[in-house]
Amino acid sequence: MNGNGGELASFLEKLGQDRELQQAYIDDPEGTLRQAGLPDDTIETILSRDLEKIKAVLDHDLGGIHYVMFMVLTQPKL
Amino acid sequence: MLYLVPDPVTRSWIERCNPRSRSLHGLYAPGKRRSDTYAEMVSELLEPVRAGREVCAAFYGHPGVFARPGHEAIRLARDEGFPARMLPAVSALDCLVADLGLDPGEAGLQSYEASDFLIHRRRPDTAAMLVLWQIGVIGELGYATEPSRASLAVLVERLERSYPSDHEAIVYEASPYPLVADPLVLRLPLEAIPDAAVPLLATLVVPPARRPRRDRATMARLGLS
Repeated sequence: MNGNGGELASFLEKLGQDRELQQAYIDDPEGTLRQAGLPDDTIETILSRDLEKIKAVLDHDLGGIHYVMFMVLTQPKL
Repeated sequence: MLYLVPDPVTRSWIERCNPRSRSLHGLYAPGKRRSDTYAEMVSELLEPVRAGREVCAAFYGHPGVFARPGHEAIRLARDEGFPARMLPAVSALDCLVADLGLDPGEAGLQSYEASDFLIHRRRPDTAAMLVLWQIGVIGELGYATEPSRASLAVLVERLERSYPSDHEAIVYEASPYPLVADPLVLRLPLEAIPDAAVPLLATLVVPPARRPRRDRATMARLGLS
C-alpha cells in the first residue's frame, strides 16, 4: 500500500456527489483515475474492484477508524 | 450532528457538510458491553435535544435496521415530548437483494441476528431464504476485532441440523463504494464457513434447500386447485 488513502478518500467523496464525474468513471475508469492524479498503485488497487484492498488503502493513510466492532449497532436479547 | 459510520469517505463528507459534527465511535471500548455503549449513544443524542437544540443523527445503512440506539433515542425523545423522526435508508438486506439477485418474495425470507438465532433455538424454514446478521460477532456482547471461528463452528453445527453440510451459503458484505468496489461475496458450503475469511460485519445468506409443500386443502378453499 502506498499511503494515498487521503487522495483516494477525496476522490471517492467527490465521486459520490459529482454526477459528471460518475459518468466519466463509468465510461473510462482508468482515464478518470489518472485525470484525478492518483498514483499508479492506487489506480491498480481501485481497478481491481476488490473491496478489502480499497478499504486497506483508505485505512492505511487515514487510520483511526477501522472496520471494527464499534460499528455493530445491536446485540441479541438474552 | 452526531454520526456513526464505518468508512472514512462518509465521515469526511459528513464533517464537510457540518464542521460541528461529532462521531459516536469513541463510545465503544474493549471490555465494555455494547449495551452500555448504546445507552451512552442515546444520552449523547438526547442531551442536546433536552437543551433545546435540533439534533440530526446519522448511522450507516438504515438507521433503524439492526441499530438499537436510533430507535431508543426516538422513543425517548417522543416520550419526553420532543418531535423526532427516523428517515429510512438502505440496509445491508437491501444491498444483498440487489447484489445477489435474491427476491424475498420468491421463497419468503427469515431474518435473525445470528446470536439470537442460536440462543433462542430458532427453527429455520428450509424452504425459505434465511438471512443471519452479524455472524462475525456471534456470542460477543462487547468488543471484537475479528470473528470467532469457534462461534462460527457452533452456528454451522446448528444449521447442519436443518441443511445438508454441503448446502451452498453466501457470506456477504455490501460495498460502501458500489461504483468502484464490488461487494464481498463468498459462495461456499456450510461446512466451510468456519475456515473462511469471514469479515467482521458479514451477513450470511442461506438459500432455500427445498421447495415448499402445498396445502391442497387450503388451496381448494381458496379456489386455487
